[in-house]
Amino acid sequence: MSQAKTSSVETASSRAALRRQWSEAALTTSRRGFIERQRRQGGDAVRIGVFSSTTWRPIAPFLEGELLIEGLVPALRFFEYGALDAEIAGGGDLFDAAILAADDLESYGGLFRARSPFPEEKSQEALQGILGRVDRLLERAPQVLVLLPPAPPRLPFPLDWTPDGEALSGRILRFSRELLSALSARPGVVAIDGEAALADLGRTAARDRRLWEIGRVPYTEAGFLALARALAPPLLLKAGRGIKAVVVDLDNTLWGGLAGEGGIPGVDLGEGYPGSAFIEMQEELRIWKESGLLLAVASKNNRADALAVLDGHPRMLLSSRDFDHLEIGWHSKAESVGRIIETFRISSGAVLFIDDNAREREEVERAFPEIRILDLPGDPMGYVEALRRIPWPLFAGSTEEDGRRGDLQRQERERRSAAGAAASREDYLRSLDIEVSVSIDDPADVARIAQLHQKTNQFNLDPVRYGEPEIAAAMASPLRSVIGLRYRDRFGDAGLIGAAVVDCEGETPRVETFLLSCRIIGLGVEEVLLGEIVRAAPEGATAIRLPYRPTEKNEPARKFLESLTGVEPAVPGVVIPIERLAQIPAWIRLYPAPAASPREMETLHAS
Amino acid sequence: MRPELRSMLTSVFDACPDSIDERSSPDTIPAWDSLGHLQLVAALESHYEVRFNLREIQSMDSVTNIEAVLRARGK
Repeated sequence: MSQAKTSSVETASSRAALRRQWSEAALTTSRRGFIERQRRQGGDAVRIGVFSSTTWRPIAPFLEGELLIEGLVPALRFFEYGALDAEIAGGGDLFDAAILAADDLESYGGLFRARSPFPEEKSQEALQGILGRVDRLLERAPQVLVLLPPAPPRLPFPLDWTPDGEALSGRILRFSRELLSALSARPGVVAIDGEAALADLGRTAARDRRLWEIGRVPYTEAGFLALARALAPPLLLKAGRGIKAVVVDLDNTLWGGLAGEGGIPGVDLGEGYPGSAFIEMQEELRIWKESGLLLAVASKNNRADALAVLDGHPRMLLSSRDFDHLEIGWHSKAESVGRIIETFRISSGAVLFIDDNAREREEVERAFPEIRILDLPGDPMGYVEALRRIPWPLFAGSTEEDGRRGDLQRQERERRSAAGAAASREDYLRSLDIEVSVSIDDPADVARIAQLHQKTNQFNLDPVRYGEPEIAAAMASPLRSVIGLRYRDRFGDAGLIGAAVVDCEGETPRVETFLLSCRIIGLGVEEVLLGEIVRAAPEGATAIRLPYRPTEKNEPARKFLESLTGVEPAVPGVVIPIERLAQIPAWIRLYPAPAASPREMETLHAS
Repeated sequence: MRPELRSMLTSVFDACPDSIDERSSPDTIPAWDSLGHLQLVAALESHYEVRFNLREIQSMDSVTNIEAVLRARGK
């Protein structure tokens, strides 16, 4: 636990930032301050009654935190021990939801005791006891969450093997199965498997014998936090919070690699890692789709390239027909997401955005503070697990109408915020802390620059495929220059991602090649490369000549030339007066070129 | 009194820092009830990276006694 930092935390700018703050504060002394601040923000009130035969009050801050970060303001009331049945029998206040913690081993009448015959009668009694309480609670609350019985104690073999031939764990399972089927027949009841919720934490971290001895507290703080996270989704769904649509990126999210670079053969999908990880991702999304969720694509790609893989790759489990909307092009992700939200007529809070690129996740989060962002790990191996563990419920199947409430008003608010998003684009770019460095004729760059020439299709004005000998020759020539461009921002160091070969002979320097990795298009980095070409030009030069050869894939390059000249670029190139060339954007800083490092060579594949 | 102990008591019990001194105990801090005590113990264990036994937990019923247990643990 670190020092209390209640006063230093600023108000979160987005739902995702709020969740991050809470995750950091939950198990520290600063959680009280966090909860109080969130309470002051207000939200929809929910009354929750918690019924238990052990001490459950320690769950309060955790359940409050989990609900407050989703805009619900819970009023929790606890009925423990004797108060549990007194309150249930007394029939007092109404609740929006009731939680019944049926997790007390001692209330199961010997069911958990080894080496005795199955206590048929007592087990029926325990079962009817739980169901009777559930039925009384259903009269008081439209939603009743029942925490299922805990795992049996561990005993050395064969002490857990009872004389009637049934293992202790087996009889608990039998009991739980009977309980589950009785609960599932009751509308409004949700069964919560507490053991599953605590499993990740582990038995020893979730329970603390000392707490039990001191105050019959069944779980540690971390244990209660895990239970609160398991209890929150049904409460959120009931309150109209949940995911209705999933917006997913394509390259390195639905498949490995870039559709625009290698086409179907260049895409990782299928048996063997990493292709298998993307198959799992698609399988999971297909299940979600079949459960009634809307699916959409937001991808920076040439439409034809993306569709070629979506519909043509033999191992694809999803095809373009599985998506309710496709946004494939070169506009910003925020624009794409905005159009999808508008098309679906849902609030951004009901959208889960999935993208491997942390920069684009943040751009979307800024434009839509309410949107749900899946924090994908760096390694595709963890993708499907991240997807399955989202903390939000899904509006799947028949519950869809629950979520309509308040949507239209929220949409209106969000459209306004999306309009504001464009104006704050420069703020966003500034926040990236972009730094670029330029190297000229550096022999250490030959291999990487040649490789960029081979691989870059999209932002490539004229895909002349110079190899290493040509690049080395251009570097050696006194009249030609080879410019390399490295990029980094606060998300990481992308290494050498841009290059140009320039022939400076004559009054108008002729750019032979000009290319950038598609990962950093639209951040103003292309202006830096242009600026360097101008600087490399001989004194007295008034214009530069940029090449242009359209291909199936270099639409981003065409758009760039069009933005410089205002007209459709001509083949084989355009001449642009130097004074028309933009300055280096204010949000980009230059830093001195580093010596080539082995790390950079490792990132070669990623371009 | 250790400054970090004061800050822990302040945030766990939502108390005014000025109101906390060596004599502070469940009698002087309203939020220091049995549950509050367990929260305080969790905060102390996490901060000092110790695990108290039951007797220690039960004896830490005032700031003076908490300091005594911490000293005995070499903290």
